[in-house]
Amino acid sequence: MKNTNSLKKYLSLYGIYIAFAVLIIVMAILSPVFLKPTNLLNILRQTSINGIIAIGMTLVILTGGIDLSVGSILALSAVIATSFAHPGEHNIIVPLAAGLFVGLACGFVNGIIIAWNKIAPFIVTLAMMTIARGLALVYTNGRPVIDLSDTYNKIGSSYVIGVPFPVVIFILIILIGLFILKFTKFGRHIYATGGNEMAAKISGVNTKGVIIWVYSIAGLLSGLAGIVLSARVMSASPATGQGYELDAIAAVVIGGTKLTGGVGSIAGTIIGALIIGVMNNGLDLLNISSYWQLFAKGVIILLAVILDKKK
Amino acid sequence: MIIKKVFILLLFVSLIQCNRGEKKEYAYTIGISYQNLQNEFILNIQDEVRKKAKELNVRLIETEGQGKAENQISQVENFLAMDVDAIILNPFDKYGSAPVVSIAKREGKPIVVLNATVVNIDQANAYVGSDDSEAGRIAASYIGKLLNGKGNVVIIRGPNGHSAEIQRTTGIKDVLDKFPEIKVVFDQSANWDRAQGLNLMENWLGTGIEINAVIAQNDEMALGAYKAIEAAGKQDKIIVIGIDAISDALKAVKEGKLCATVFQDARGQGALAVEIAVKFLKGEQIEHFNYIPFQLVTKENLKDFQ
Repeated sequence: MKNTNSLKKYLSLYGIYIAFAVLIIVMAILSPVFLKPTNLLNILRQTSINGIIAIGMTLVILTGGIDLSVGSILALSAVIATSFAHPGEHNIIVPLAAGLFVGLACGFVNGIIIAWNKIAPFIVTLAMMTIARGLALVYTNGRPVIDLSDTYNKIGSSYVIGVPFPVVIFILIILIGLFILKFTKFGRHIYATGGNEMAAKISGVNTKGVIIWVYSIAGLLSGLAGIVLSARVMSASPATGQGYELDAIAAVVIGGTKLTGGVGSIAGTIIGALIIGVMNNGLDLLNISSYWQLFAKGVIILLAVILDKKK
Repeated sequence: MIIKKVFILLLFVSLIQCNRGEKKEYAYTIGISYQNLQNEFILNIQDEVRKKAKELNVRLIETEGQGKAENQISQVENFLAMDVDAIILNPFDKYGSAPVVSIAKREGKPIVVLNATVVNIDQANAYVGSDDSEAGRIAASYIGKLLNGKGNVVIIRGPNGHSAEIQRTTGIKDVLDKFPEIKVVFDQSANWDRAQGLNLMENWLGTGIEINAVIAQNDEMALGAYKAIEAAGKQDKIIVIGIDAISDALKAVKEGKLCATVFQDARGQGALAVEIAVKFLKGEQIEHFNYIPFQLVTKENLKDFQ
């Protein structure tokens, strides 16, 4: 009896990792191309943008919040960054700083309003979602920003010792995120705020500060993702990034982070993002209709939340 | 538990795979990335691509960008990993989808661009499609004629930055510039979408500004606009033209709801793209630009298009 219980517990704790391993094995059996190094790098590169956003989303969801504005912030950051990235105009630092600053600023506004006015994050970030999208369209007059410098485009297409640059950025962000959550006071405060905000406040956690910080970080990472994405497509359309909030939330939820806050991990989110990435890639390789891809993604999300509920 | 379910899902997926994976020797494998398979016009292209591929004994690997350039880049990376013989790209974004062509070029894979164009089209091996500015010119000229060169016109555009939107707008403006007494009173995008076209038109009608004609850059938006006009009871006062000649639009032309549409030969384009890719793989000479002309469809010549 006790044995089956511990097995169950083991499964619900590590189920997502086992499921990921099974997915990899099955894909490898079905497609001879799947395990080729170029394909594995493709998966990582294709996952990196969603992955970067999802890490910010994890912090937000850990505090019991949600951020619907990440896709629009991505677009606004991308169009503003690229508008400073035309060849021979500015040092590469300028577009990067501009893009990151815009992301950070939008996230900061989200955080301030949520923390000080106690309005539901869903509503605040929903508003920011259309505000940032609107600003992106106004800023560009609806036209894509094109003609970017080679240096800028390299962010999306170059390699560092054989690893695509977007993947390098993704890994760096993962390491920073893991470090913050595991080893810093701020990390512990994020969990505390999401676990029981009242209790956290009483025990001296500056919950308002924590909330402002996590939304700012989510915005900053969306800005970073916007830079990587625009460099990858060598242009920035104000319409880009639509629906990205859903992919990021999906990665977080599949990774076992509870939408009610307080429980979850970045490691889980990475696996969640990779599961989505492997599915998209694998189903492409297997020549399965994209209609099924959408279906399958939904099924996986459902399975993940059902599993989460059983914990 | 989740493992069991994932297993079932994968089993299910692999069954779908087995069903279609009949063992057969193909002459070539071609990977194709459509811009978006939730659009009747692109589905028409897909039908013909499939037919032609079957006829020429080509194995097709089909993907769609779901309206995102970055998805198309990922898909072409996947094609390269699979080592397909050639790639057909139906780009969503004139600029954003351009890296697809550069990547294929860098890896030495033949690439045919289909239906919409990209900025670096000269790097592709061939382009098959129609000159979208021609569609804009045909539509605007017909409206100019019906209005006797005088009146208020609204333009409903495709998604900003989409290559067809840019070129159709250019074509429309080129012609309207020649009619000094035609005024463009509104000009907005409805993203190829019928519901958005309807909303846009409702709002415009609500302003009370007189509108005599609607030039929509595709049929979906034209039909949406017509619905708004009908609801306002102004169907006898405002003429509507669309582009693409999808089946719904042909019906609407027959019923007199649309004054005309402009036929873009989806079927011809789809078939030709596969043909050209195969020709190239066989080492035969191919043209770089392969244009399939647009044609105006009115009540009079409707039966040729049904």
